Amino acid sequence: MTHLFPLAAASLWNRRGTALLTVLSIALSVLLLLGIERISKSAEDSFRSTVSGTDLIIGARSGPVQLLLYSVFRIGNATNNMSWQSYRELAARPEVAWTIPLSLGDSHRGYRVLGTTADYFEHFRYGRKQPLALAAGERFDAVFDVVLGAEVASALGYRLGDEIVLAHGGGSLAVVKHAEKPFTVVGILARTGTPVDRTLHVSLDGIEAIHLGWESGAPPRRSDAVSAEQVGEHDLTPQTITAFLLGLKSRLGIFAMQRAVNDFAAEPLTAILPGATLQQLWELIGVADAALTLISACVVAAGLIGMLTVILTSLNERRREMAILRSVGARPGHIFLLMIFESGLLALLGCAAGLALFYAALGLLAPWANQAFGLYLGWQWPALREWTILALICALGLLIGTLPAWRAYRNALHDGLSIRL
Amino acid sequence: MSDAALSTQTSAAAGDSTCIAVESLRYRWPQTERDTLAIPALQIARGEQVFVQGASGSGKTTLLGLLGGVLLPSAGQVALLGHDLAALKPAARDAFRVAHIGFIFQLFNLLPYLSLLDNALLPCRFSASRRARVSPHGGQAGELQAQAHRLLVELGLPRALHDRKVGALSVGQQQRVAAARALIGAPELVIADEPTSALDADSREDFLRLLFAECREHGSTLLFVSHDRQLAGLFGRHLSMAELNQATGQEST
Repeated sequence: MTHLFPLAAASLWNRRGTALLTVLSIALSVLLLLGIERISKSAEDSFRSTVSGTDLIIGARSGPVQLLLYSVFRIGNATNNMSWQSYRELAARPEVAWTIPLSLGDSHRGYRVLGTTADYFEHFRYGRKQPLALAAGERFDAVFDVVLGAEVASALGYRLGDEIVLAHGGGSLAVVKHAEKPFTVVGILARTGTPVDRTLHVSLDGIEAIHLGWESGAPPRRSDAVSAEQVGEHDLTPQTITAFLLGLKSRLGIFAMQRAVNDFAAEPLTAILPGATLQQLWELIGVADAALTLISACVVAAGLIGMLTVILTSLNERRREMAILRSVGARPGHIFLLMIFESGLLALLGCAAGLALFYAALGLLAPWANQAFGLYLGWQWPALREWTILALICALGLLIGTLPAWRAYRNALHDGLSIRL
Repeated sequence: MSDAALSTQTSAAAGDSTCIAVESLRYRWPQTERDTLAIPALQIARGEQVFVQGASGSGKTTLLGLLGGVLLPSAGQVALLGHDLAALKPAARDAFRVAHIGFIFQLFNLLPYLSLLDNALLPCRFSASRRARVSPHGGQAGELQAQAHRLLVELGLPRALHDRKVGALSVGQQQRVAAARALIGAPELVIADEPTSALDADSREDFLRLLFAECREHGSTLLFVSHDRQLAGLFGRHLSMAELNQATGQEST
């Protein structure tokens, strides 16, 4: 049967104008499908990689998703804080390997400020258990040091040594500023593709220091105000934190620890397993993802139906061609195969062109997607799932090709060898 | 004529020297009331060059369809090289046709997107026996092509043209390519259906002379169908559809 292929190819080449358009329409639909597939995969990846290596996240009693949203994604706010004492108590348990306290609530030009300790740089992991790395400078040390996430630094144009002022509360409309106590940029983190990039990191001491005299929740009166120079005279141990991340010495103890936290007598707390809660959250988001995939599948179907239309339309013009082939010995079965070859070839070329377009678009748009959305679109070979999609499209092309092939087969039987056109 | 009178008799056990043997042949197109074709008997020997004259509607095309095994007789028998075509399965009939018959049609019967050479080689793509007769020893890679080149040159198509697409050729040249395609692999029977009707008188004679010579060289039987009586004199044997066809109800098609 291999001798049929050059014939099908030559015949198709003879009609290259319409063939090209058909291939293009399939290619565009393939591009769309692969693009959506890759973007949603990368969104899911970066979503799932926001936190890793953390066994439990513990905060004041709340819903698990809410706790995850504010502690990891910096979305929304905690309704309650937890006491420093409870934190110390839990952190001191023998099965605990490390903890990272998180204190949220302030912001800088729309970016969240996170108060934490040096343990954050030591133990926080994202992606595939990658530690945080500094792109420039060093970790915070002094009370008024700040370490910027990569996006904060690049979007706001900050460099090491710049002084910045934090605002009380969140959101870009926060108007009450801690103007009397500016922070100095001492470090900038390398890009992670996670919410860390959009966070400013200061020490818990720093958070405490800028709130000295704010015990009532409002800016202090002039008489109570504590100047930056006087901060050293105060005890900067926090009363409360927002939440903390916890790593255990042995993962076997996770559920026992979770139970212990949830039953904690002194104060109502919630402990969540980040992986399980991430999954829960993704299932919520996944619906939109599925809808997009469905739409792009419909576009592929439209592309293939377009191909079907073109081939069916060409059948009448090609009746003579088929009769000539019959007269030189092509059997109706050969005619059938020729037509199948043609639709298979169109689908294959469409897939190949779509793949080429996909990688071209990836090369052009990946830096921008990374910058604008924190989406990392790496140049990888198509994954098994993408190959499967492509194979499926080709198979569908062949399947759809059976319809015109069957019509041509019937024509060939009916027309015999007569050439009357 | 009653059906009984024309019902199948025994085949004229075709000898080795018989190419076409027709007996008590009748054909009626579906959904028509009368026979289009009725030929009591016709024998054509191998190597003969036969002219069949007939006006349009005389049943010529039907006869060719029956000889090629594209149509099957309503009654009677068509034997080609001793094989009853109706007894073969469709696939075997298709294979038999391409193995033993070369066709030349009136016009426009080349594939415009192939070169002269590829057009001429088309039957070899579909038939192993045609291929085998071009290059009997299993064929070195280039032998098929070499033989096709040789045949085309013999038919008056210079080598320089062979790799061009056929679209650029004159009608006369196209007909020679069609002849090469029919002749390649030396089929026992060459059927030509009005192949010269688009040619002027001079090219017509040239073309026929070449066709005769090639058929003689390959030992092919030539069945040449045309409405043009003037050509009859060039052939060894001359038949007329009007005499052959005993059907009373000829319908014009």
